[in-house]
Amino acid sequence: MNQRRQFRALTHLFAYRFFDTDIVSMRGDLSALLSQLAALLAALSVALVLIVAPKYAGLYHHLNARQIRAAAWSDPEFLISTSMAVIGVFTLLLWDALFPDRRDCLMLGAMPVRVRTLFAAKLAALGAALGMAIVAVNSASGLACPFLIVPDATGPLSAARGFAAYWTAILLASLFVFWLLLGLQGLALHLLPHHLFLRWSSLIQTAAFFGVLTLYFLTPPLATPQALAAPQNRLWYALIPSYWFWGLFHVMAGSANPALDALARRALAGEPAVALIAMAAYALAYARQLRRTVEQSGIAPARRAVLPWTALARLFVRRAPERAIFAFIARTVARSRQHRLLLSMYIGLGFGYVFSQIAYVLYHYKAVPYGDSEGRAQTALGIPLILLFFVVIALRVSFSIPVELRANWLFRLTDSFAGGAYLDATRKALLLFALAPVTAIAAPVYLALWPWPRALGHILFLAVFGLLIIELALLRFAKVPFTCSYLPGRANLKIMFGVYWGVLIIASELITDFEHRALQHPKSYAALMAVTLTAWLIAVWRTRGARAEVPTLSFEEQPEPAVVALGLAGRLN
Amino acid sequence: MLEVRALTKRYPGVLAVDSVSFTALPGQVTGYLGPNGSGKSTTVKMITGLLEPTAGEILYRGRPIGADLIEYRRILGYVPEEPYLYPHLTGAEYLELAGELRDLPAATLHAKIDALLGLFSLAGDRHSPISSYSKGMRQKILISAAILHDPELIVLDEPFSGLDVQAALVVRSLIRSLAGSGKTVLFSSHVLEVVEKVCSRVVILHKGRAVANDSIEHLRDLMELPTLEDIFAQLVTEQDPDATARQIAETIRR
Repeated sequence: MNQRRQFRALTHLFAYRFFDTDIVSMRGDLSALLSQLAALLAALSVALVLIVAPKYAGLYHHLNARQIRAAAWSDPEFLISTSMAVIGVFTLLLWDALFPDRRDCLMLGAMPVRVRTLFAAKLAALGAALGMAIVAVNSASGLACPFLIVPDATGPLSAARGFAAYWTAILLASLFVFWLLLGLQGLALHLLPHHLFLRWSSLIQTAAFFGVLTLYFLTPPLATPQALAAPQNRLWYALIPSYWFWGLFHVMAGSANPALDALARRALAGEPAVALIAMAAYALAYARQLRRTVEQSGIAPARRAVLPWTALARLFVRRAPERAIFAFIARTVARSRQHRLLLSMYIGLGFGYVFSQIAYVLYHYKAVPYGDSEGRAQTALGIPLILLFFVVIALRVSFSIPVELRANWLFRLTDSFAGGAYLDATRKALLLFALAPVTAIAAPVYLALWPWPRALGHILFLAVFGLLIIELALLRFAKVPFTCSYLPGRANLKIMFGVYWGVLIIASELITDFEHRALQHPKSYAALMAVTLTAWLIAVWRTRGARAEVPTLSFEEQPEPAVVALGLAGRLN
Repeated sequence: MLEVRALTKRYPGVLAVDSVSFTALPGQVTGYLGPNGSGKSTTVKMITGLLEPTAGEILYRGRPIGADLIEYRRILGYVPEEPYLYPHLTGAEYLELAGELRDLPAATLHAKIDALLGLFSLAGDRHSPISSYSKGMRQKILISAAILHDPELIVLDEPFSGLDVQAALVVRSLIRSLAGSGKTVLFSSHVLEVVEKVCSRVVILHKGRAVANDSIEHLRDLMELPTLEDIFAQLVTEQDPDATARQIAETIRR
């Protein structure tokens, strides 16, 4: 048997499976998808250059030499932590494909393939995907930034040394995150019974996702010589890996600071330790997983779980078809890995923005006198709004991605359209899963921070504005969530992320500005509420009107084409 | 009574069903037979309203089903050919979904779900996700969902797929019993022995056209053949099965 041929075929299969989800649909074209992903990451890299480079090019005339020198100290940490965060998210996207699943085991287990060939192919596919991601996300920043951010670069030799230092630090930092997450899954596979692992795996994945984002956005800004000298910061430096690799970069670039040297030593000790643990856990878990997956059924019998929203559904959703669709939405959101991952990505972005705002309030306003408290208040006003935007959009986008499309015949044969059950159920799902939690989290925070009339005013506005956003999200919505086919690309993240992000930030800035001013004058506030309520009523009227115009529910994103190509072009050659 | 008149379905370049007509009467099980690709499932999908016919009519109680499709679907029970179910739901949750979409009263629905899961030996797996069910277990869930609302018209497309012997015997008896209580049953299957035992009459489809539409007794007499299998073979089989088998064996030895 030709093991090399098997290895090649399996490597291609595993690489394909990494991205074989509806979220990043590939229509069977692996190279096209990899090119798109690489382009997306490279675009991010260009954005990093645009953030970092202008001050060194003298585009900010108000910056003096001391500030530019300080930037050269801190910018490497920004670039390293960004690369770590991106690789962390990338690894978490591949989470389910890191180990062989049931389909792999059942299909490949019966083939004359050695376990070591499977293992080597999986490693090769992982290595290729990871290498592509690291190079792509540093493609522009890794070429431009090393020559800008090396302090005291005196000639070509020191520039070359800075370049090598940059890439070494970036590579090791990115690999560190990868090893950490790989080890986390390997250890979970070892420590948890198989049925518990299956149930908790996606929870660990989601928690790690938020962990990566939290660490990235809330890491205190300590990449300065002054912070490095302060004894109270030692714990932060010891706990946050991006500072270790930041230290490594500076030491390799020629710094003789003993504090940086200590950080570099931590990086050099931590990297092999975490790599060793991850590789051992992965190798051991791999063979074990192959056996356990075949031996056990997908999920062991469970106890009946009465989740809070099921009880809420019984309270608030009276009509049976509506209740059925509501429960279907709740269960899909709670259990479908693919949808949870998509939700995590969107909501994680929302949280990322929120964290950056909190960090801004925490670190930026710390030294600002009390006179700037209005600026702080305005920043705080926008936090729940942007979070609400992201949660509603996350749910709305996830609704358009089907779960087991071929099972939708049940909805097609029953009363999901009658009386607008689909629309009422979807609206209630958005109210309960988006507006209710955001308001419930925001209300006690604002009531604790602000005088109650102002806090109450903000919470009321948030609630009414939330109703408006939900109604807008339901305009032209004529489907049961998760049951309609969709065209790959319609919910294409690489486009939608950027669009939503830009629109939402601008919209939230404008709305927050209006609200901030209105909260200071009762008449203005009444006018703002009246306008928002009117807009909401108009949106409700439009949604109902649109429902009346729709003859039936949509289960296909695209009607059959009037003209069908025979696809003979390639065969005639 | 279900009446199919000159039903036709044409896909671009393919005539899947070609002017098929037959009648399924209440109190009877009508068998719908044909080899792979003969148009059986396409016909069944048109009868359930999942597919629009290109031409022809489907009438139930003398009215075109499209006149009030929602009302028609309320009295329809359907077991599809493939066991496509929502894998993230449990068996009990799937039946709850089907029952609530059909607006069954909650108390009745839950009592029925408990009883059906018990009768189909699924009570112990009621809270396991369907993703962990075997093909036979999924089939039992589909059959339960199809009859949960006590439908007047039952369309069964390969209902025995994946069922074990015990369950197959139960379902066979159930089909007879449903017809015996006055329901109209359309039964599409490849399992000719079962069709012969439960069906009063059969429609045999070949390349999209109905090549026989009669009672089994009458077909036997007419064609002077002892079994439905022989009748089927004579009407639709184009290959000599033994010769084909020999050719396959020779191919894999190459």
